[in-house]
Amino acid sequence: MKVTNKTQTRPFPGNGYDIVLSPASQAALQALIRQDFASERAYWLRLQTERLSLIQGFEELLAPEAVAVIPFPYQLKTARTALRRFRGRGLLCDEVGLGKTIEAGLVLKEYMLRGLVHKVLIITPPALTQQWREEMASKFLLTDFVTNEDPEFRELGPEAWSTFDHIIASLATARREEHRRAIEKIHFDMVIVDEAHHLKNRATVSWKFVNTLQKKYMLMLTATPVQNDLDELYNLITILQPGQLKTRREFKRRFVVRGDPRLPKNRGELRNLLADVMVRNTRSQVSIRLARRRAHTIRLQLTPPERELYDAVSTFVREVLPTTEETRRRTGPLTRFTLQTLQREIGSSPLAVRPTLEKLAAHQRLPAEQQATLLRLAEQAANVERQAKTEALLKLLAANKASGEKAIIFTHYLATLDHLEAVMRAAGHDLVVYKGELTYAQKNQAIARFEREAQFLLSTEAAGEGRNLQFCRQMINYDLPWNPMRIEQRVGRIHRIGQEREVEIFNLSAEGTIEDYVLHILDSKINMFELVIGEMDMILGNLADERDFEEIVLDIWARARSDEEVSAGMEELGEALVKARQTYLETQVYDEALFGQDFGVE
Amino acid sequence: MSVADSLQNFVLAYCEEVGGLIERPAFGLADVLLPDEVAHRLGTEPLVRLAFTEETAAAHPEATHLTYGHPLLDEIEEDMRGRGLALRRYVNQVRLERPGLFQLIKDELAFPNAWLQPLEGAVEAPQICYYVRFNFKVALVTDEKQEELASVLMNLHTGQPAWELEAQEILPLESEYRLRPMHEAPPAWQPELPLHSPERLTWLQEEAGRTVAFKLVPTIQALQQRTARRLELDRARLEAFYDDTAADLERRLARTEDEARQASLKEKLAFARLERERKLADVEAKYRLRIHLELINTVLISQPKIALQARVENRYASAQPTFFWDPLLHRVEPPLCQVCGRPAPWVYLCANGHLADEDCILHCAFCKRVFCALCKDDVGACAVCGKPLCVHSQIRCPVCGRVTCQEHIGACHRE
Repeated sequence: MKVTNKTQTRPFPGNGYDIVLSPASQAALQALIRQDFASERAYWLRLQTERLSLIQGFEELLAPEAVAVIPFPYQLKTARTALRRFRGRGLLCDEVGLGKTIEAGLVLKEYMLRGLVHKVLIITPPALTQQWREEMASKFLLTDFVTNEDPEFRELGPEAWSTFDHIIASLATARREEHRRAIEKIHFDMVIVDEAHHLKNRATVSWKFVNTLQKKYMLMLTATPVQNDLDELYNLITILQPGQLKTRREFKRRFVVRGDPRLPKNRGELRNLLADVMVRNTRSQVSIRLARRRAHTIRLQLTPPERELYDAVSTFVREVLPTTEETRRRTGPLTRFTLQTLQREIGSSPLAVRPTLEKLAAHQRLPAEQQATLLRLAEQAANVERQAKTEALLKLLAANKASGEKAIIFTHYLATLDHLEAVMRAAGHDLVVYKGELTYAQKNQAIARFEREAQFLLSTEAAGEGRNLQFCRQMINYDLPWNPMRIEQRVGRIHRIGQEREVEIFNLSAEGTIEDYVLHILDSKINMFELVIGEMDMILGNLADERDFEEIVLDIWARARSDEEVSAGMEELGEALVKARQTYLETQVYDEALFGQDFGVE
Repeated sequence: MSVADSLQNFVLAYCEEVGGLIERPAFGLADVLLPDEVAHRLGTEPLVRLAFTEETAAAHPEATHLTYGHPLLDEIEEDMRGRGLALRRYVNQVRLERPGLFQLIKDELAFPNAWLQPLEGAVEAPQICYYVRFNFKVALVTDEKQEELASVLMNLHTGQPAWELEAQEILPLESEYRLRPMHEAPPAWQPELPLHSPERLTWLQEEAGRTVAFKLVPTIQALQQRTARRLELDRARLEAFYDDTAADLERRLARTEDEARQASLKEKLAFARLERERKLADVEAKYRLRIHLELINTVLISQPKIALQARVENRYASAQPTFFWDPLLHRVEPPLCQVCGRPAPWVYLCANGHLADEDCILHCAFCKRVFCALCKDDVGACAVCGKPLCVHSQIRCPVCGRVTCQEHIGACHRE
């Protein structure tokens, strides 16, 4: 019901606002109409209930009590700054690893708790949509986010943007013409742009798209707001607060040294203007030191039957893998995704690949010849008795057992996990198993038992999203995801702020497998396992190739006709990563020189 | 009272309200036995030990440490949202007679154009009158939100806020009616809405909402000033930015003779205009003030008052209103203006028998009769001097048909 503030009979004070009577008022009014009277104590309790939950100004934040993480003081201060000083529109530029997502999540949660934000759009690079969803659910208990990859979202097409209130979407998808037209009509209460440095160029479709979004609050997150020149900074701030840095011409005249677009002048004035929209905490400012991390690669030879199976599956995949163009046209069971899964499963264990092979072999739409091949491969997988990685793992665990050091063993596949559970129990190890299908209470119990007594946690990637596992400092990758971000997420379970001991990562790598090549380029080319959490995002973001890392890897693998060609392809990818890392390091140095410690909240 | 104390009072009062038994073995500690269905509803065991301070919780690790944000507290709050929605209270401790009420009415109220006369057969008689206290949760929403509880006491008969009664620090409210039976006073405003009807209570709730907003005017104005300042700054920034952008584009447009370039610049100009509108709309929406009211609960209060009907009359008309003596406030209640519904301590009698306050009347410039705004059709204006003239004093010009006063007869159609 809407009550206007002007009536014919009663002059009403104050203008320029609406009074809205909440539908929730009906319960109390109906009780009065029915003369359904309560006791005085119940009446008092009802008033107290509301008194306890009254929302005050942003001096007292509600979100910290309502999230599943304990934010650091600088993160709380940043959230408060974004709420009070920036009035919900800010550029969060903390150094990598300091938790910009936590800060943005706190601001979002605060607005949602206060009922100020209903319609939310989070824009991320494609590789990070799932990670954002996980973090929103596990850390901020915001479980109803959909991503543009979800089937229900895709089914609706452009209509999905107005149907769902909480959306995480990749920039690449959102800016596509058909989606863009739908999105531009919507008024968002909050827009969050992760890796906002992708909007550094105002001539791009991405910049124009984000600039035209209708939004009340907006947060942009990037560790490197400026990569090449100051124009990029101008472009980012102009999306947030047009005019904050004046017009482009005026900005250049007042703040950029003529002839050197990288060099600022009138720094004091520029700093004052930026301080109204930008926060940049550095590790040294907030006294956060991440523990060192060290990687050990255990290279091993597959047993002959394993090798034979691996090569046979790889050959099959190479022969039938469609090109990207064919992928769109191809229907039937042997899609690119299925073949990629086969290749990844065989990288984990023969037990992981066997069920998929059997299922495919039974598929009526496949030619008889392919069915026969798949059936033969499935039988071959069933006949592998000794597994080299299992033996290496048992040796490693035996060595570990004496020290009593806790470790998490990761595998991607349930079949591999079941096999490992059996062999580890047979070897007398004290372990707990953690997998996605456990109930919430069972997961809690598993983590509690691991902390209290068990030495090993055998887990799929579901392990401990948002949980505190810092009491453990060792992890073993039984199989290795091809996507470096997935590896980062695994490592991030134990290597996070609060971990005080050196983190050790053991990678089991079978020679001549895709995982072996991936590990080689990630470890030896860019020292991935020694990077700070978050740096990998930056490096991948600097890759010229816009395809997913997994896609690139699979293409190299599928196109190569020999080991040499695989090596050459991977070497090339490694060099691209080295270059991307170099770009990131240069940007980091430049940003440090530009902003230093002027924009921290501490 | 500390936060822990107020929390403890709240939780234990709730437990008692829902039929729980409570023992307090130590300071800050309570053993509560809840009825099974309540325990089930709250998702807890029927027998729970609750600790309200950190020290107690540390000393009794088996106890549930209740703090803000604890799921059990959330459940209790949720349960309470459906309870305690209305309360009934009575004013019993008042004298039910007021000798000499007629004279008091004459003394306390003013009748500038009429006389007050006793009505034959009319006697002073007590009648039950009602007030409703509305307790609202008020949220003031701009780009941030702040909430507070606000109460207002409304007269069910008049629809007016009972400011004076509200200002009384202690109202003698009791849970039982202890007086002899008496009639209910009729509605004084909106008489077509029966006293306890859903329509009348809904209307009263809306009036209460407006009154709450009135009470919050200082807070609202302060908030409006703050947000207006922010809006002004944002708007100035945006307007300067888009003015400069447009000027820059126009300058470049004036300089170029290349048609393709001109077209491109014109397109950019049009886009900049569109973008300016959108960004301005964004900031205005962001800072617009909205007041959200949620009715939490109400108290229906009944209070006897002494009623006396009397006659108000002058040369042209008469009325027989009922006047009320309020034995709590010890005063005669001013009758309501029949035009605007507000209390009228200065009561004018309209030539058609309506009672109205000073702001709602017109005097005929010639005969000095008084007409209220309800009778505005009986009042015209002189075509020459514009002064108000009632139907009795208007002179219609036989030549042009217009109306004038005595003074301007025939002047209406002169060049």
